[in-house]
Amino acid sequence: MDNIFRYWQLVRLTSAGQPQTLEMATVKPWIEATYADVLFDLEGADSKLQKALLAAWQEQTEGYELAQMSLRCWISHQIRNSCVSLARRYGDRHGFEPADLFPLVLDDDGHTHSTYRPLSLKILDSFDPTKASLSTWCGRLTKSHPALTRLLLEKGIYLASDWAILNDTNLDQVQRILQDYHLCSDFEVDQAVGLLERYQAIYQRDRILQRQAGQSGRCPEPTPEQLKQMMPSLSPKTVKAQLKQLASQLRQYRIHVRSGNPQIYQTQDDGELERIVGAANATLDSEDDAATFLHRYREALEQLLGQTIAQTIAANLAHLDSRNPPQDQAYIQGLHLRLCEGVAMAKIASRIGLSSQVQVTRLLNLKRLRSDVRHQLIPSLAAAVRQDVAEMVSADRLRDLDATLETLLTEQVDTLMADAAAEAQAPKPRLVKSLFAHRLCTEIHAFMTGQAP
Amino acid sequence: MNTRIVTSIPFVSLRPMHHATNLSDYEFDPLQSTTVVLSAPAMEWAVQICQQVTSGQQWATFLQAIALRGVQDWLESGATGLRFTYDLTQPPIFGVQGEVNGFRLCIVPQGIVSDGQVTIPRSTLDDAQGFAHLYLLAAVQEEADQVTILCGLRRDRLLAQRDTLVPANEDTYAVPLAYFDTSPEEMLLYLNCLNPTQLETAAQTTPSRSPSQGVINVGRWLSDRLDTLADTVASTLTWALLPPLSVSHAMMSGHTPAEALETVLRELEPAGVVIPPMARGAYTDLQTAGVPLRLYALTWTHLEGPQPEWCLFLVLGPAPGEQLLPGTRLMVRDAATVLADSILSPNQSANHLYAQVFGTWDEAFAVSVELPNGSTVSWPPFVFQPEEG
Repeated sequence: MDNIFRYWQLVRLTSAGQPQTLEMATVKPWIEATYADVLFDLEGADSKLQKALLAAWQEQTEGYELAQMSLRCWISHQIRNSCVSLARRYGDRHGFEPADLFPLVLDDDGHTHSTYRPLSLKILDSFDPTKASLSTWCGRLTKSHPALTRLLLEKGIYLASDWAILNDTNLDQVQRILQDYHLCSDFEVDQAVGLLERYQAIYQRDRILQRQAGQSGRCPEPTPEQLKQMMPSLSPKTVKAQLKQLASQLRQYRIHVRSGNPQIYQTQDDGELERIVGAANATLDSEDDAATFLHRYREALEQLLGQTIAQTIAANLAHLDSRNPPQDQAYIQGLHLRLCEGVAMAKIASRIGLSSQVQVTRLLNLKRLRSDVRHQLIPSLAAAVRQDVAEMVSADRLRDLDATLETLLTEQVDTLMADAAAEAQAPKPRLVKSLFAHRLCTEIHAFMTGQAP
Repeated sequence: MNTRIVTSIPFVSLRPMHHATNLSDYEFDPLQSTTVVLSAPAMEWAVQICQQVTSGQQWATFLQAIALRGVQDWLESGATGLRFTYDLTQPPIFGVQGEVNGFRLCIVPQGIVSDGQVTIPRSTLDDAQGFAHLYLLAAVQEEADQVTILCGLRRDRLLAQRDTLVPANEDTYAVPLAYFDTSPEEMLLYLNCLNPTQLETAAQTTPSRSPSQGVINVGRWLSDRLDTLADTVASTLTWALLPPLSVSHAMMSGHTPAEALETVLRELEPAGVVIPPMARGAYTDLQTAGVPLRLYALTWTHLEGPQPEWCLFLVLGPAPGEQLLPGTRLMVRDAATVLADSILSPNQSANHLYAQVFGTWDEAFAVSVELPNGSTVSWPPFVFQPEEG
């Protein structure tokens, strides 16, 4: 068996908050002696060993305390791995490291306390081998740990609680999902629909009352009183278990739908400015139209682009100035660093008083900046060549115009002439810029030196 | 009495649920570029305004109010001066809630779970005075005070699909999620630059659109691309790409459509049916057309011969919980002949039919199913036109 040491090596935190591994001196020889035959299996050794340890602990047979400690050790590795994988997936963009997560969930110090139950024990207490594997259960409880989800939400990552899932699903949806996707029997579906109806009547009502009282944030676990009101004929524990089971089914389905519709649900990565807008390919009706449009509009574009960009930046600055605290300075600095100096998003954050790449992306909102400029250009370009765009143009034609305009803005500018003089004095790598970025930089400079209106 | 049905019911992605209780990438919701975090006053307004309706409607109104404020914030956060006008003193209705630059907007809140269908009020389509010009789907995350603008739907496009709409009840239509093909950025384009009257009548089908109109292009499946409404004229054919079917069927418990297909494929293995790991596919349920059948389609390329070929592999089975009736017949034709023809005879115990055809990349196949009562169901031709680049 690989990584057998996980069954006697505990991952815990030092007083300084650093992870360390601690070998549990009594556990190791006991495991090696008691489960020698399992350890030499090639396949399925983990699940066999876990099953044996769980049985020993639950049945309180000889050595059950060592069995429990062994499982706690193994679980501590799972918890650490969950933190690491979360940080690997989201940490760079959202500004956190595994070390930010460890203190929230790696709370088993290897001792047994009378009142405090670390996460590892909560995992063991609630584990049901018929529902999932132990590693799955660890992952689930770690990632949905309240303190962890709170931190993740602060960093801009939301994980829906079971109760929120149950709040938002209507009865028709539940029926369809259980019938068509989970292939439940009619009886099971009716039960679930009835349960959800009772749940929503009580929980949603109370949630709105809580909100009125100023409480917000993650949905709390339903109280025994609430559970009793929902289904008086069952024990609160049973009702809660049934609700969590339903939430789990809905959660699975949700993943299925979202992964099947990535064009709607996939994370937008708009860190890079220089990218053709994907949706509208520049398919104009005919070659002639394309040439005509480009010819007529290119000159007008030269004149109008600068002032349209200036107007857009000014409007954004006014908007950001009225925020509390004001963000207009951070905005213009951020734009300058990104578009004029080509600094990577991740490095900009600390230079403008923000703490993550995601915050920079959201502040600069380059995609919106670009589309706002285009959308203001289209009518004024048309006015410049004396056509009333609004009256004549269909929605689809407008899309094509927008796409062609985007193509024009993305064309590389020949900056050789302009930069030659500058390079002679202070040679630095010349950034190849689009027409849009080139003109944007000019306007940004104007704002920064106070020359803009 | 032979009725011919040409089906335009969408195909659905066959993404199998591996490790059903694992949290996956799609479970977390990172901030999107169109995610808005509502201010405390905005949330307070939503909490207050929903209390004006009866308790049975409060949660729905609460979500509607949150969605409304979120859309407003998003629209007004740009530099072009968009203003969303609505009545702050009234609880928002499920329907047209307000207008921007003359466009009447219907904001549809989506809870945490979507089931691939969007319910819209019929009045938003049918009311001659108060119809909606644009529909906006907005995901509401109440716990986080967040709204994410997902996608939109133009009235003119919806009108062009009118006869495919299924009434969910007497007040609403159920619209497939895939119809919402307008990106948030495109919505802004229309709101800023378009005259609303341009969306008021059904979209014209322009002949100069993609040459592959009215076909099922499975070539796109192989490069992870979806057919959108923009590419297939007045068509509801939408295909989502599947991940490869798992080679080991051991974990499957036969619950999801993908798992049901895997069960069938396992049964076919002794007959020598081999599906390569790079195969992609989808399925379509015909129950909404009153036909208790489900068709699975898988495709892959075959590059070993003198010419590159593609394979179309079909499995016809009953709808969940039903039995395939004797006399059901699956046929595949090319331009000239019938290539595959299998019928379920009364003494067969199988619960599915299958067919497998190969063709060069320019060949198309017509698939049809005959029902025991004599009706025929057929699909637009299956073609193979993978993208370049």
